[in-house]
Amino acid sequence: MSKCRVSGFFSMVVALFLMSSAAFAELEIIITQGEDNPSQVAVVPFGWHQEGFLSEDIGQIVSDNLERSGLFRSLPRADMLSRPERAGEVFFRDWRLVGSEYLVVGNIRRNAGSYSISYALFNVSAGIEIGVWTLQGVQDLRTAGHHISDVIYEKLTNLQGIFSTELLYVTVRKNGSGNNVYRLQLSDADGFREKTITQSTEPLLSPAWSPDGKEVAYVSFQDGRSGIYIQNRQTGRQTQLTRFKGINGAPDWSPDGKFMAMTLSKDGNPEIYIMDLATKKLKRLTNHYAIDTEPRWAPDGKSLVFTSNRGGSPQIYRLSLVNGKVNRLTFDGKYNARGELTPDGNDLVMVHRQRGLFHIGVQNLKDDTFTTLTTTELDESPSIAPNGSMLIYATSFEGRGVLGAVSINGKVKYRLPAREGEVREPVWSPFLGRHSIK
Amino acid sequence: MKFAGHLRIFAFVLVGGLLSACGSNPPAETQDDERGTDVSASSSADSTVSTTGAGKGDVMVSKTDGSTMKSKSFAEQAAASSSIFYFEFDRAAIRSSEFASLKAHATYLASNPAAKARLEGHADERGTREYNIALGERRGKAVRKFLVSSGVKSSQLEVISYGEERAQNNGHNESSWSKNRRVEIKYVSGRP
Repeated sequence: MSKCRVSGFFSMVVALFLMSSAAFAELEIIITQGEDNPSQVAVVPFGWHQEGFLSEDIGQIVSDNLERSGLFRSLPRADMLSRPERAGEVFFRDWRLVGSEYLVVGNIRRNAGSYSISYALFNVSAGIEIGVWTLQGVQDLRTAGHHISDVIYEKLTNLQGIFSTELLYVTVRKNGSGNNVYRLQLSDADGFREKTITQSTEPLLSPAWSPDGKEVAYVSFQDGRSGIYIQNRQTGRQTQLTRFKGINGAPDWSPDGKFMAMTLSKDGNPEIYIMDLATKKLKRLTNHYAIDTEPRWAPDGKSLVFTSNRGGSPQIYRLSLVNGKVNRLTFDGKYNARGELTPDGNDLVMVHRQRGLFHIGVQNLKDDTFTTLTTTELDESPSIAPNGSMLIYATSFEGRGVLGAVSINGKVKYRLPAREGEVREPVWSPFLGRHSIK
Repeated sequence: MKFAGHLRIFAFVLVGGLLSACGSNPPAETQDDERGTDVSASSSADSTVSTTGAGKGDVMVSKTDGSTMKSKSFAEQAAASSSIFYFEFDRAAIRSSEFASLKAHATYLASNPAAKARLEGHADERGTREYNIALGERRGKAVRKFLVSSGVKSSQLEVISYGEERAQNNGHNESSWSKNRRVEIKYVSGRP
């Protein structure tokens, strides 16, 4: 598993942070709103009959993951009439009686330094087995729990699961001398296993993922001015990509990983540029005396959306990389910014100001219908999950910056509050190809 | 691209016009901003500089107590003046009430070419972070334009925008926000 292959000094640092975060998880998920009629799923505790205790409760991880999708609610363990661990032990009657539509059972065995996990999924009302799987050579039980969640979710929804993805975000805390400490943090999509990528007493902002998930980019003021940096996740090595006069901001990788879109003001105004990452050659894409910023590639790589106040207020525009034409996309309201297109390219998610409050909005680009997804204020930085089902954003709760998630249909909401300091600018990772659990 | 060409010409004329007005008019950002139609800001537009009819810089100075100002050295005047300048939401226009303080810094910097200052632009927390970085830079540049048009060399000044990253006041209300929408003049060398 690539995630564990960190070497040298960085692994020591990571180990330290893992130790501290194990005792004190940064994020805790509170589901605030779900689908009207979530399907009930029973995830029986996975059987384990060998010596010692397991570090992770896989059944609980799967159950929590499915519940957080908003599409399912879990049957409490106390209400389970039996505890089957394999297909032959399942009596559908036990699960019909308590109203479960789906059932997950499994068991864990350890042999020669790794785990083997067998599990099965059933449709209770139809009385059939949907699938049975065995994972061999498992080193990391939590990673395996996320993988199992992905398999079950995909079987039940026909949508690739996002439980093995990760979040990148910025936290801000005061240190002993009262100065802000900015940290670029990484965690599993459920908020667990938080690690620090970099930290500074100067601002860090605008984190971005490379399309293969191996590198991250961000803006740091670590040397007193803004610069765009790239950091390799495995080696921890940081390289400075830009340090031009003025703004160096809003990095966004092209879908093929070859270019970086960014905002630079070196030529006078904030303009959109793309840099060829192999040659470091820059190409300027906008030329306007207004503010142009927050470039985001369309999933097909053929256009960029960006924020501009060229019409008098911040609005989102699309710039075609085929013919160079710029079209205004948003007209609803006086402040629409930081646009991002859904993976199918059909919807534009953005920060939208309504009656003085900032919400997350989504505009369907086919019929131009506009929906406000959040009701909290000061919502910003929406980032769409790679399967397009949910988006995560920064908001304010009880006067602090926290992360919120909302489904693209607005029906499911949950909050990931910080227990200390502020959490901002979450960015959902691409699919990380972690389906090998070895 | 014909459209873009026209815009460029328009921008050129706009900037050119300002330069010819030399030091007496507010910076170009003001002109950009006034084209804006943001409702919340337009209500307070009277407290900012309007595009037309702004008075001469020296008139602004005389608004403060000119007699005592003259008896002090330029350094004393700059040191005694505010070094923080505040702005309206989503705007980069310098308020006319700030002209006197800015002029004191300009006079000091112009007469001390070795002095150097950072113009740190900031925004309140509302809206998006990168847009606010751009907005903070516009505010910094508005101050720079004022200072340069008052005789300061642009090589003495560096504009750095922090956007909303360095709030002066951590509250989540207008009284806090109004303190955070600002440009701070920070002397790097030759502090008055």
